[in-house]
Amino acid sequence: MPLVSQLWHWCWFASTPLCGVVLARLFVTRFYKEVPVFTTFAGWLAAGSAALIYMNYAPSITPDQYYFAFALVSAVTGGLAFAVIHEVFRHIFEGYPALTQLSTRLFRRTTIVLICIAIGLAWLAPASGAGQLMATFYTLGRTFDTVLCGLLLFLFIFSSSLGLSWRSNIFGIALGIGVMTLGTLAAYAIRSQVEPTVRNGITDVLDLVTESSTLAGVVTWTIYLFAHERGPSRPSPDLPAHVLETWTQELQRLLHHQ
Amino acid sequence: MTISIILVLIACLSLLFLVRLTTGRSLTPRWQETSEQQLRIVDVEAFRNLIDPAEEEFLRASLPRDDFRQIQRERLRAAVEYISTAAGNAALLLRIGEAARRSADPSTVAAAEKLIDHAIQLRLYAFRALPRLYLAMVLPGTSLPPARVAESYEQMTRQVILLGLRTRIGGVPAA
Repeated sequence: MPLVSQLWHWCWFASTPLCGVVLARLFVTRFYKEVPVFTTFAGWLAAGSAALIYMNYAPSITPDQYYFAFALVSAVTGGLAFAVIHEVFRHIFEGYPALTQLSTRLFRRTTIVLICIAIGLAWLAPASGAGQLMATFYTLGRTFDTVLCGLLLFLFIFSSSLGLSWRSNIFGIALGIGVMTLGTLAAYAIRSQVEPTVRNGITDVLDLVTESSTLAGVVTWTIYLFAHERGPSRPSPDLPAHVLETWTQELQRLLHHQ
Repeated sequence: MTISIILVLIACLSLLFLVRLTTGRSLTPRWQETSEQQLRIVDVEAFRNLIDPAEEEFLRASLPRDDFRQIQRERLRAAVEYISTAAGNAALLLRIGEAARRSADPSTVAAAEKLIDHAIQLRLYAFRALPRLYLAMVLPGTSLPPARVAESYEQMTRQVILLGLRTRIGGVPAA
């Protein structure tokens, strides 16, 4: 087995138990109550990945059965990832009533625009390559990942431009999904165009990109879930003296003008 | 294939953006960052004057066309500077408000939440106003943004003083 192939297999094997660790951590810290969709997602990733590893090596499983299971796991994973992003969105903006309506409206509009862009891309660059069936599958994956990546970037950019704070756990969840989805998007974008009928060096490299980004995403979750929870702002709520002085001057100036 | 390459490039750039966001977030604790940043004074009246349509009309009527355009551009540049400073102050106060929201005293929490709302409103107004000011620089005669930024800034100023008094006089420890 070539080195690249071995590498992506190891990434695949490593991310599966690590998903289990993430799941266990969610239950031990009772954080699962706050992020039920993410908990389902982590559980699904662990179970789906374990099932695929078993099916990959079980002699009784035919290639068709394996690919059916692969497609099913990927489709549900994609749907759950979208739900997790919505859960992250809710957590970010729940502390800001002034932004509830605006953020919901922007989130919906961004989703619609991204869906249109992704469909446009699928129309402009349809599946090609010798392995037509898998190329079509990767085109669908690319379309979905474009929407997911766009939504995540929207969340990061919108919240950081307003100066909103994220809880570290929630930030870690979003970051992990972001890393995972961006790697998959890059790999699927190429595979949708060059997918061969028989595996070769390129497919191994692209599998390495997909599996290593999945592993990086799961490692990100693990780090953030095990790290000490850092809230938006932990220190004392006392206003620093220099801040108060500056604003007293501001108020005096305003009153003077009135 | 071109679209695929573009998507790969976008994915790589987005990944770099996420890495930058992560390192920027973890290197400095937010409160330390807040204390080190300086609040900058904004002269609200001067800002109102800069975006006052009557003032603009007066200058248009009094000055030769070329002089008016040059002066108006400089006035708009100054207005951009004012709004950017006000938005920067709002970001700083947003963090202070978030810290104060963890207080055990309900009135401090209420004041902090109002401060957060005002700070967010101000940043939203600033985001809407800045493109209009830049547009007015390029296309003279474009309508200037309303004075909502100034009003929002005044409300935020009152709220931060109120919060300051509550945290200092009340002396209620954090939750």
